[in-house]
Amino acid sequence: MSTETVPAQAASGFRPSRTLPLRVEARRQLSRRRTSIVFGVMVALPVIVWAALAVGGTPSGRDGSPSLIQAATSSGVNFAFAVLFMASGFLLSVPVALFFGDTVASEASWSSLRYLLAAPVPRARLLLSKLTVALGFSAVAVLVLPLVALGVGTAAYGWGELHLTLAGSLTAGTATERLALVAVYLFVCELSVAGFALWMSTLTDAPLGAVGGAVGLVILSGILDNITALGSLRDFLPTHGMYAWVDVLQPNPDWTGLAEGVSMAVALALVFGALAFRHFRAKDIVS
Amino acid sequence: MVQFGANADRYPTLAGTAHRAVTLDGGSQAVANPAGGMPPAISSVPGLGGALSQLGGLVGGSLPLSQDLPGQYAAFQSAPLDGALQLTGAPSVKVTVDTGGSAPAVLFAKLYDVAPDGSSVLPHQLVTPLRVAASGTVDVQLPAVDYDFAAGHRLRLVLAATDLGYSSPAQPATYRVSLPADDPLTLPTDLALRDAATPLPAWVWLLPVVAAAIAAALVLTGVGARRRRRGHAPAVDPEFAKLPLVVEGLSKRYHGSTDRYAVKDLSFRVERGQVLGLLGPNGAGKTTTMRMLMGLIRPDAGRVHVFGQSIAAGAPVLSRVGAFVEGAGFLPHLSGRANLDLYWRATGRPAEDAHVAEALEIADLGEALERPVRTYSQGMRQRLAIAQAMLGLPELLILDEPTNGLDPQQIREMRAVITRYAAGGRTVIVSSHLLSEVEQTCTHLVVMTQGRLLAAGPVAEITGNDDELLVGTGAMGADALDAVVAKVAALDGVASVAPATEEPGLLVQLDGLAVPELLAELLRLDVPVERVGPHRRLEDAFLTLTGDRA
Repeated sequence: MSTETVPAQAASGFRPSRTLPLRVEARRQLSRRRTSIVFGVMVALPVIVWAALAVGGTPSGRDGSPSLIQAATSSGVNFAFAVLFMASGFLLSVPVALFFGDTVASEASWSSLRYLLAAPVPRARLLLSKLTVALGFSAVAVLVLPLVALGVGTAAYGWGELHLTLAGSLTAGTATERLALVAVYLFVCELSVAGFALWMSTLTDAPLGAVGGAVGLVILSGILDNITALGSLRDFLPTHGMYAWVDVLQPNPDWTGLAEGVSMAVALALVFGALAFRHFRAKDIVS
Repeated sequence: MVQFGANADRYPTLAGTAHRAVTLDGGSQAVANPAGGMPPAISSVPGLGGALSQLGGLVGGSLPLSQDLPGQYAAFQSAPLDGALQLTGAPSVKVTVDTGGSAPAVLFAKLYDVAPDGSSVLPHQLVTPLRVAASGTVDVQLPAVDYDFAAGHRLRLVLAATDLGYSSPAQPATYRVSLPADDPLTLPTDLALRDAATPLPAWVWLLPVVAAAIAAALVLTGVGARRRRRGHAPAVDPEFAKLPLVVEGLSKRYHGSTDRYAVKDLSFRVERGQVLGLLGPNGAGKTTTMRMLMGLIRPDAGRVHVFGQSIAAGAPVLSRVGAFVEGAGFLPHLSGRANLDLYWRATGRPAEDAHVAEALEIADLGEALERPVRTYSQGMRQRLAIAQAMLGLPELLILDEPTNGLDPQQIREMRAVITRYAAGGRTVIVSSHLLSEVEQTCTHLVVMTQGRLLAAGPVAEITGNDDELLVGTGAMGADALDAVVAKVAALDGVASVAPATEEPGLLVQLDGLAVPELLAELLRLDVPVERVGPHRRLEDAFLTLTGDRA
């Protein structure tokens, strides 16, 4: 990039590759209330779950609650995995849908998009900057949840090994490694939601529509995933892999589900991302 | 939850294909057989065994389904396992039993999986009964199971005197049980089984590759990509390099409206130092034109050149253009100052080129500059937006309805700002539907209606000469009017005379004759004069130009 020539006839000091730097876009987004609310919810959720368990007691097996949640109070890692299990299906998709769905559409709704593009920030560059910052924010949101849950859980239930109701237990070290791995896996899973939300964001000037569209996709995919009659077709739903990580919580982990989930998420993210670039590059900006 | 697809080519037999030896600790221990064999230890419940083991698996292995009674068993435990151990087959161990004289001794051998937290699981609830006829060392073969011992877990061998599933001697007795030194527990394993992992479905590898190909195709075939490939060659037109703006044959029809053009075949050019007024009623296509000048929307036909550079989305030459089009666009949660600061940083240009002080002077926001923009009035936003357009003092400034929402005092200041700005050799384009606006600030005009160009040129040329008079008359016959025109034209000091087009009357241009003298002459000629006044220049021109098309 440093060898890039100054474009002829551009203003002095203007280089397309220097427009909308990441830290400028990050500052623009970071100062928004919605950003702090999302991070606040991610930090507060483990505390809320802890409080609920403290008030209501450890869930018993009678009501058919998943075994991970029954064992939530056994140790810090147990608690962290229980919180992740509760958040996996839907909650983690919300910040991702928000950061990606809102990023272009909100600029359009504020009319600031046209001034950025006329600055001029090249359209691909604008989308890339916004995508990167949204990716960073989403990563923080998705990764901060298990981290805080581990901290809250350790403070409340002590540092100890992961108790698995089915397959004995894992040492605290191994379990923490798996927790990190599962958190990264969940983030990768959310890439399909991210791609779809970004595409929606370029389609509409209403941020709520873009975010709602992406959340709607998650809900629809979750409903379809419950229809077992669809059989192996369900493997190709964007949210199908979001609970596959439970398979690695055993002494001999099974990685198949994780590989399938990563494959699906990466594929969907690529296609949706390409659709976003394709549409945004040729779009008439009339907002 | 997970079904292991473990498989091997051949039956490994109960002895396994390989072995692991695990040393068990525990000295000689006494085992009491209670009278009548009651109460018994529980390893499984007859008839319920299978169901119980299922239940144990479901609810949790740590459920104390298996219970040994204190004093009735001997236990020998291993150190925590270094790694996971997959037991497949029947483990064997040597046990020394002292029957204490009451032969035969009946014992029940079982192998527990003990988790680090102390909870223990009896795999499949299986137990081996032994009958030891005389004191001595015996080989014990434990139940054949396929079981996975996790790393860190311990193995515990238990030899109990009683078991619920079996009857045992009624005579009370005490045995001593110990393990021969250096004789470990031997566990059969089958390595072939461990390697049999479930293969990944082929689509796991295929799908991302196919998706990448689709993505590449999507990106490379879009309208934007086609345009980019095509558009590079004629991007620069040296003929126009000195002109701030050249518009040629510009047409735009919005998606969905098939018959109505927003802009149709528009051509004009702007020279350096001009203040160009883009004049037209609402809906004339002024804003659409400006959007095309900024590369925000793509013309269906025609070209725009700014300083000789063809304009497309994100054309670098736009860095020399400042624009304020159709209202302000700010981040509502940031202060006015932060908005300007971040906007300039987004352009990536050096901070010293911004000339923030000049821009802030124009915005004239005072302390409000530090408040979030969402608290601003429309006029404040407007001024801030114009200030943003002037950041970096661009050579071409495009302002769309800049005085909307300003109070009269600010309108006057804005006019002065625009005039001053252009005086430095820079170029300004101002759009407006207000005649007085463009009349007072502009040097040149482009008049549009319904997307079409009506007139273009210097203000004076379009509006007519300043000393032209409109003489309003009552209704006159065409012959009478022609006669009057001929007579007036013959007067000394009259440059030209013509019938007025918009109302009955005459347009007279004087060249030396005073207005009272003209009036006297007209009255002498019996022209029914009703009023005399300056030709209402631009307004008339504007109405004339746009009116018959509306």
